[in-house]
Amino acid sequence: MNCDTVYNLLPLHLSGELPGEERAALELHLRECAPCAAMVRAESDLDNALRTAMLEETPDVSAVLGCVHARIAAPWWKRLPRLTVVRAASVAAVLALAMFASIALPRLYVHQSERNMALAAASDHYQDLVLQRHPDWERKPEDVARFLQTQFPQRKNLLSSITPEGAALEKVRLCNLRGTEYAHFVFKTGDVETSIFLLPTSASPEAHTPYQAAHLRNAEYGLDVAGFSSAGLTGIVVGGHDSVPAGQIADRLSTTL
Amino acid sequence: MGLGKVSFFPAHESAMAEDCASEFESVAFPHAAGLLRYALRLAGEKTRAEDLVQETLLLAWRNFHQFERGTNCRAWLFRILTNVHYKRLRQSGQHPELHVEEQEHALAAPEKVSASQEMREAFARLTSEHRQVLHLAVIEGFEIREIAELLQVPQGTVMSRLSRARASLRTALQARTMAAEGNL
Ligand SMILES: [Zn+2]
Ligand SMILES: [Zn+2]
Repeated sequence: MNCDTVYNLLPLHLSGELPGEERAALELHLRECAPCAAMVRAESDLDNALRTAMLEETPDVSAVLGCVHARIAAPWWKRLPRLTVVRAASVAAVLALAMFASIALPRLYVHQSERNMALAAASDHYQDLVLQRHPDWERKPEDVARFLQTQFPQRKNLLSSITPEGAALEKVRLCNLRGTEYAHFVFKTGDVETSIFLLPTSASPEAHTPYQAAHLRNAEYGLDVAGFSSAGLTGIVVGGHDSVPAGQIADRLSTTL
Repeated sequence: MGLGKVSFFPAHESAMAEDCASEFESVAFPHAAGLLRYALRLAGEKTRAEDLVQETLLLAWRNFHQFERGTNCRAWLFRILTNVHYKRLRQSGQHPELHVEEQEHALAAPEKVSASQEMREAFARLTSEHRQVLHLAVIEGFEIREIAELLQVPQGTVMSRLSRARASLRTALQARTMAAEGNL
């Protein structure tokens, strides 16, 4: 190992990430090369001094934690919407209204597992489209065609039959909802995004539990979620409460697919 | 197939019961001080930093069911905070990649200050990009691989940025010392 290599590997060395062999080689070099040894020591002293200086001032987090605790641990009827909420363009959140509008409706009609799936789908939609956590979507027609061929081998014209009216496919990938893989299709109508989650043909029979109650609203994200089951396919539709008729789309899919 | 139409309550009101809230708090709250330190670094100002941490923790809570138990909760929280911060910057029309020397702090009157005070002043004079990468690597102790993921840049970029940040910090410290000596 030469002096240049030592210099280049220095950040990894200082953060303790050098794999064993390289670290041994670097340490060997440091024993034999005084300038490099001095440089490494100086950098590590600098780090220590910086760390000490910055950690001397510990910020007081009690106010923030108090607010967060009040919002997540309190019973829902005491939970107030936050004063400042960052909205993402593609999800118009309808926080307070939807939350209070739903109080009077009978909740027992919705099975717990369906609620959980609805929540998982809403939250996946939010994370994928607002936080954009995945880079690996299929977008090109030929890649999408290959994806469909793999996940839904017996289904010809699947894409055109699930595409909502006036929308076009933006992208698709496999997403995991509570331990089950779904094909997550994202359709776009102008700026409005609609997610359709479909169980692949190869999914286990237990995953195909038909949906009884189709139309759920996730007030937290301002999203509507609608499950559907047709003779051959099971899925979930997610879209903005104001902009996407998720229930209608699901109803149509349950009869046409 | 007959499909009833039923609205449902805010999702985790029952899906996530009280014990889940306390699990979340025990996993996430210990990282709050670090999050706030980092938020102060990014936002520069206390109220905005606190708001950023609050938004981060609430977002994490909403998505807690997707967090894989046993994986690195701190990295997950810092990633959310970074995303929220950049999203806000975009919404307010500021360009997140604009790293001018925005805080050209006047050198403080060179009275007797502690070494730590000197270090903090030198650090404050770095570019926001350099402060951010040093903060994550040195103060919070994240690995380079984690920082690369957090900032969505290649590891090589993180490494060269870190080296340059350390060099600027050293230069800033020396300038501070020279200014102090010159005024003696
Ligand atoms: Zn050397
Ligand atoms: Zn997804």
